[in-house]
Amino acid sequence: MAENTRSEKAPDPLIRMEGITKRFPGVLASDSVDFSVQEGEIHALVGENGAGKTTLMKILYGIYSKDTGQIYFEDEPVDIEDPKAANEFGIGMVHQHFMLVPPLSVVDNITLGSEIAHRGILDREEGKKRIQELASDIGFDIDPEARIEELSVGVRQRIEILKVLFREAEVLILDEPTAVLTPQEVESLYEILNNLQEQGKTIIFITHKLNEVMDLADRVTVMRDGKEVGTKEIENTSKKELANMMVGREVLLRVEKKEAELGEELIRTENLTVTNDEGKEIVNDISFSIQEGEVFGIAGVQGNGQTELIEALTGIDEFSSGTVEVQESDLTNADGREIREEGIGHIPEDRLDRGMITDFTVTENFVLGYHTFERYSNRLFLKLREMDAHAEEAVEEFDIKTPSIKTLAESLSGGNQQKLIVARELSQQPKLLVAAQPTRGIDVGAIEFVHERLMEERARGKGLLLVSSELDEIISLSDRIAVIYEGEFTGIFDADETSKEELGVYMTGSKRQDEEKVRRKALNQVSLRE
Amino acid sequence: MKSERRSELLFNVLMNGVAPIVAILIAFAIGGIVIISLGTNPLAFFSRMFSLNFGTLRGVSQMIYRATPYFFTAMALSFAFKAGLFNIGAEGQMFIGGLALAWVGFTFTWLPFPILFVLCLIAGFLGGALWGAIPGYLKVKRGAHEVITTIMLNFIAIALVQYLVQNHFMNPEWGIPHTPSVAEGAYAPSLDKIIPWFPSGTRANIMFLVAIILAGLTLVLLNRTKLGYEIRATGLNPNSAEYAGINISSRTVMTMAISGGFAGMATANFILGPGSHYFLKSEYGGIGFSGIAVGLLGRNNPLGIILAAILFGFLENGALGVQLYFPNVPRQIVEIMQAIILIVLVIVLELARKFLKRLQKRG
Repeated sequence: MAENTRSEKAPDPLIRMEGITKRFPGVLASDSVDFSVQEGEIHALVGENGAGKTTLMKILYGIYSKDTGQIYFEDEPVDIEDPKAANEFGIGMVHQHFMLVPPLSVVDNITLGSEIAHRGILDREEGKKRIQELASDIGFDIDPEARIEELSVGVRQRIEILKVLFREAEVLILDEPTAVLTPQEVESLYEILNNLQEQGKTIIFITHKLNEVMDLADRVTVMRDGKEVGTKEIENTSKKELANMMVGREVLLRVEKKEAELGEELIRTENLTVTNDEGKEIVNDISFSIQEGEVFGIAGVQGNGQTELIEALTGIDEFSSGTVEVQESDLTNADGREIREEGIGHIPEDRLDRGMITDFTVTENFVLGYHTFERYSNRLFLKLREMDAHAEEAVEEFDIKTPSIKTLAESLSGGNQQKLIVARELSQQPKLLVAAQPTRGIDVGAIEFVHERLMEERARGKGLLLVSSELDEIISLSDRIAVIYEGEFTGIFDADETSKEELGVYMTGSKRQDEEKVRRKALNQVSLRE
Repeated sequence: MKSERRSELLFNVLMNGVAPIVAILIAFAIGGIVIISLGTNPLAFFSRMFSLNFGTLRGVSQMIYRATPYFFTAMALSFAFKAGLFNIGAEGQMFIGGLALAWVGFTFTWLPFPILFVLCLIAGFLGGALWGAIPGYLKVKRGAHEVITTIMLNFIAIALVQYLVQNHFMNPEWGIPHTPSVAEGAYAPSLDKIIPWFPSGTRANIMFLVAIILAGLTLVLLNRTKLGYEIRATGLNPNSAEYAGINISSRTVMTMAISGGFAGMATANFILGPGSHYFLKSEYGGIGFSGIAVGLLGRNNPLGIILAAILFGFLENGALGVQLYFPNVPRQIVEIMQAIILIVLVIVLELARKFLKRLQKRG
């Protein structure tokens, strides 16, 4: 395969990186990588977390210096020492984490560092005009005086793109641009990128989502463990092949789901309502029940009350009315500790800002939420030895890649951080697991792993409440699926008999099932077919 | 893996070891320039200072006496810092705690040693804890930022203590406003009573050992107890702490209380130790604020803080003695030196951080 990938390269690339090697303490992040980009193409750079994609691009953008290797720009050997030098070659980068000043306006953010001035006097009007032109060129409107903090994540990303264009970039590097976007925002990003390509810009985007690669890219380069595995024309490859290249072995893109073996009712909730500070109902009169061995999926566009429902259910927030019963015991508005003691685990949707403490060690993160359990502490003291033993065991069992259990969680890759959280929750052997976006932002191999583990729990007769905005995931893992829209269930479906398209219609609220029927189906009082 | 541990070690050595020492050396150099400008030979000045502190056990003992209160006010800053809180109110907490411990000492005069002594310490802790808990409570209930409230409460504490001493506890015949003396049962034994080879007749007392014990206990509390785990979790990421079922409001108030409690014990060194045995407000002014510098210099680590406090004791004790030999260098040189150390430290730490980043970039 390696030979024919070479021959696919066109003769004169715009940028060529040859034999790029970069060593960080303990890791070979980039191992004599060759990479080239043609003028005017959209080139995807894919690989699992930690494969070296971002490192390679940071070298191209001058943020990191390379140990060995050479970069050619239009066939001339060049030295890109810092981002300023990269800008001079027309290379711009949109980072995964936005670098904007929230209280400042759009125009001030974009011109920051490249202000237009006449005799030392700032010319904001001129800047505004250019920004509006640039924005309309790629197909959107923008209020240059809006402050960043008032804008949604999707709009902020556009501003980052404008920032790069304002500096007259011809080559745009986007680092995981869709990781933070809603499905709709992803759509409009696609449009923007296509418009940019039409204008002759060259785009490199880093991702690990194969759907995006197939939708958007002309060519794709796959990296694994710091090495380049191959470059492919999109027409000549498939998701399956790319996934195998990324992971280095056969990957199952579909989950093996056995026939459900339902047991007793595990949890029963009725008329759950959550109101926000203004008294508005964010979750409105929701009821459902989950049986042993069942996965109950909640599908919906982000921001329709899923987060609030889950947080109230797991003791972070409170319901303003309604009841939660878990096998006879009333857990309505119980606190996080009682919830955990009752055997309910929670994989939160926000890995870094809920699920773990990045400045804690792996061991310390393994007891987060369970530190009050008798196994890990007595009245006053932590049982450090037991904590360590538990962490060692779980790291081994769940194959978490970490130098040691004393390493700070921040130095783990995203996929391994997520594995840590999944491992923590599952190793407590909960009878009910609440999993929100359990595979968001992690790579193919880790997704497969998490899915397998969740299905194992189901096979063991555990219950699962799954919230995800990835419809493929919801459909392939769930038994019953509820669609949530503006805090209400708009429909309940049998996962085997529904489709992404059908769920999509209910997700936007354009169609609803009868309210009473939804309630009875969610509570398992009538079969789904009725 | 090995190299990762090595780079972690490098970080620790550089940030917690090399940087503070470099900062101190640079501060001495700059202080030297100030001394030259006063027409004095800085080498002679500093070597005299050194011999005054370290030349005799007596000097060491005096230095320890001066150092002790700084440990407490610095711990107030650093402990709160572990929970992500900035307690700038050690000054006020110190005054409230100081008056509380003096009050117990001159009120329950019939109690014997060590009962009264221990009660005094507890009163000092509780007084400071109360004054520290107020901003904690205001933060939790009203969202008031603790930097603002702790600073404001400093002024209130100073005024309140002044008022109470002048109007309630003071004998109007005394020239200087101070409280009555504490009873003998509250006296902190001087160090020579505990360590036989220590010289007698200096003011160094058991409070220095209390400080060392507290440093050790704090390390245990933070790293080995459930409460410490929760305090650190709250400080590092309140959202994740909330997820973990930790009551962050109660942990915030508790942290501020413990933090204030440390500051509340700072003046025990003066009031209970050998000397005047009464609460004299004017003697303690600034120790709370200097604690901020000591805490930063000690890198918020209890053991580092002991060393940093000793440096401040060194400067203060040295300046008092060195005046006899170099009358044209005013005693305020100490404050100048302390300020320079702090400013240089901040700069050196930033440079060290940049250097580490560059190193990382190079790989």
